[in-house]
Amino acid sequence: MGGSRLNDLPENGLIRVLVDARRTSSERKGSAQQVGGANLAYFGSESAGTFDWSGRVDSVLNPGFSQARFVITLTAKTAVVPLADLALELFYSPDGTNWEPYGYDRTLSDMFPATPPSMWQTFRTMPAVANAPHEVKFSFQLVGDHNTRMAFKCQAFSTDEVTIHVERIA
Amino acid sequence: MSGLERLPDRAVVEEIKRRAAEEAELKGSFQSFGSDSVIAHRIFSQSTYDFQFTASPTPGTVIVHRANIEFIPDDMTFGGAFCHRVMARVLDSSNNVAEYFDPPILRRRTSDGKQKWSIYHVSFGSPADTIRLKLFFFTTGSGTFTANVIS
Repeated sequence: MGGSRLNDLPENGLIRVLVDARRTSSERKGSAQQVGGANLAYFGSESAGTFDWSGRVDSVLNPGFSQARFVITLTAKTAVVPLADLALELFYSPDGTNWEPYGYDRTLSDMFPATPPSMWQTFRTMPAVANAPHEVKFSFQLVGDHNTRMAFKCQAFSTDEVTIHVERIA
Repeated sequence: MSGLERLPDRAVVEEIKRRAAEEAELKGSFQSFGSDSVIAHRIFSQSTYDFQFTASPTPGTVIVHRANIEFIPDDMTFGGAFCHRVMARVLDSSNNVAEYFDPPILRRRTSDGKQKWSIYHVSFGSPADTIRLKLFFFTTGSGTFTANVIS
């Protein structure tokens, strides 16, 4: 005698397809999948507005120079320890109206010879001990001629979406 | 389970309901990938150095050097791999390690999502100020890079 032909019934065929689909779905849910750059996205984030800060470098350091010092905090939506980096673009205004880029090469060329505003910029990732969960912090310091008008705009690159917060601390 | 649920057509409905529940869990479950399942890459060329900042032969001549660097992911399916850090090994013109030079490497803002940096150095007209740089990119995926000396 041959085997039962119950499997050939239309309704049983349908059940078999559905059961197979559910098993595949369960396996996908539980499996650890190795990922590389092709499927680990990164985000570029900026805040709204032309600048993240604009103002005067006016905290006196010595009779020759003043400073403005900042802590820039990136806060991730999901990641507890975000993998993140920051691009910072600096601008200078001689008159309060017009802004011109002030890249790091201008920082260097204004030193040799000394040319106003002689704005030195120092940008550092802050040690992890200063970071709360979901945060990455950077310190940024401007030192140069007193009362110089400066501004900057940040762009974060990270594996999680982040918000950018700038706090002037000096 | 009542006898009704064992009826063939009822069984189909039950199976579809279980499938829908599985799909809902899959959609909603947050799957975080940790270092056990994220492949990290360190990308560098086979050359002794990638580019050179050449000092002027005239003593006292100040040159502010800059090179523009870009990391180009191989696979752009999901936007490409993330390069979270670039480092440089600095050599002198005889290819000896010159760790007393620490050129700043600063990430640049881009409007197109590309990953770019600039690296800077100042020379003062001495042969000792000529430096050669070899770049290392720390990324989440494979790729190549370009480095162009601007000044």
